[in-house]
Amino acid sequence: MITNVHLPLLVSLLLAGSSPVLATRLSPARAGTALVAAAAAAAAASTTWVLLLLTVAFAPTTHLLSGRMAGGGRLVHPVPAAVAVAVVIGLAAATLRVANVLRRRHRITRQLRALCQTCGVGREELIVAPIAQPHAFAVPGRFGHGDSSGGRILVTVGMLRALDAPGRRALLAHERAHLTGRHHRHRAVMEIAAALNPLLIPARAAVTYLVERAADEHAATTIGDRRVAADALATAALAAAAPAGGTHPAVSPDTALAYSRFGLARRVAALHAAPLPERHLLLVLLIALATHTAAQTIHTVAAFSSAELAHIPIPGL
Amino acid sequence: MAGGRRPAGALESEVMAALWAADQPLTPGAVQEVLDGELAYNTVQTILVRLHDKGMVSRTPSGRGHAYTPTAGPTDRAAEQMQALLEHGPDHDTVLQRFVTSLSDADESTLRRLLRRRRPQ
Repeated sequence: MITNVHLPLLVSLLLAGSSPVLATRLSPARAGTALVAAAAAAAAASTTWVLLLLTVAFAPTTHLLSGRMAGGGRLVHPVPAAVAVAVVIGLAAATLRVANVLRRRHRITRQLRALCQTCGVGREELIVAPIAQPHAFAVPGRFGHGDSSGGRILVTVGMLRALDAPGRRALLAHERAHLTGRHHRHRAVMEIAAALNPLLIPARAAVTYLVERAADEHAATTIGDRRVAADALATAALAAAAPAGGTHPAVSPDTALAYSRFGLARRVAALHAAPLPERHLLLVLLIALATHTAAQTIHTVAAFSSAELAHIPIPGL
Repeated sequence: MAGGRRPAGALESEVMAALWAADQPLTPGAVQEVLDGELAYNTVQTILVRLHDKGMVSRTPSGRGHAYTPTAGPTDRAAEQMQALLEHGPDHDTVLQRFVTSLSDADESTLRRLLRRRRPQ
């Protein structure tokens, strides 16, 4: 085992501790991107380390017994059996979680597109579902519509009726911001990162909040009035929460907790307040952390490979 | 308004949203009024004709012009599909990009307070 195995762990813990604070202190658009980069690097690093550890533990031909790698990392060999077993179990669980995430994404994407097909006639950006429950979604995809990067906005009649004209404009601008900002990719990366490394779950929650905040800010800028954007959001949320038609979705205790922390009230309050300033130093630190983690990981893999190659006789020579 | 010029697709979406929100067919003048007079009458008229050409709205004679209403998709099928989409609730929210999600009681009362502060009239 190599000493800087602790790096991905430290970075993940650091992100777990700091992301709730970063989410509410930083201007959302750039903070979201930086946090995604840092979390992706942490997930890649921890996964790489697990795989390296497995190689050392289970490949009897490994030459890392020599105790030293080109990069100067120290090795502990053999890997204790208990550690090896724990790593195998952890890796199997992570694989299952990733498979689960991918399957769920696939199913939801299919359902969203089917609904768009039922309710739309062509390649239009806005798809309205004739349903009284208020809902609105951004549906990424390639439908050939330039304004929304090819994606679509799916809303129900109930949502459109709950809002006035400026509110509807704010809603459309919000959804369009998700599509042009490619926020679904941010969230997909975070889903997979958190599936690989559960320490990144708080960072995932922070990114979910930050992309919504980024879209809220975009909507406020588009309509030119933060208060109108705040009202649209509050009105839509209250309409969606009203148990009209009796199909009020139950709020699990877990969800309620998550929302009281990063919830709608917070988004509305943020629109009532002045826009947050860009804090460049924090952003640079986040990006530096991401870069350092990625570079260290690449370095380790390279050192590992060269240590191995140096000892492996090449057949035919 | 601060947004300035908006692309044609965005204007079409806005007009469609206004037509869907109304509970009766709207004339170009009525659409213009609903949108707070943000668009010129001719612009609204042009958009409505384009939407009609695409089959997204149907029209009925009204006065000297037409009144427009959205062409509704099959409601039952849509309701079924929406139900399927939402049945997993919070679990799905990790993937779905929703404008609003479920509210806690605390959130709900905070939102009502924030809305009241805004609208004393």
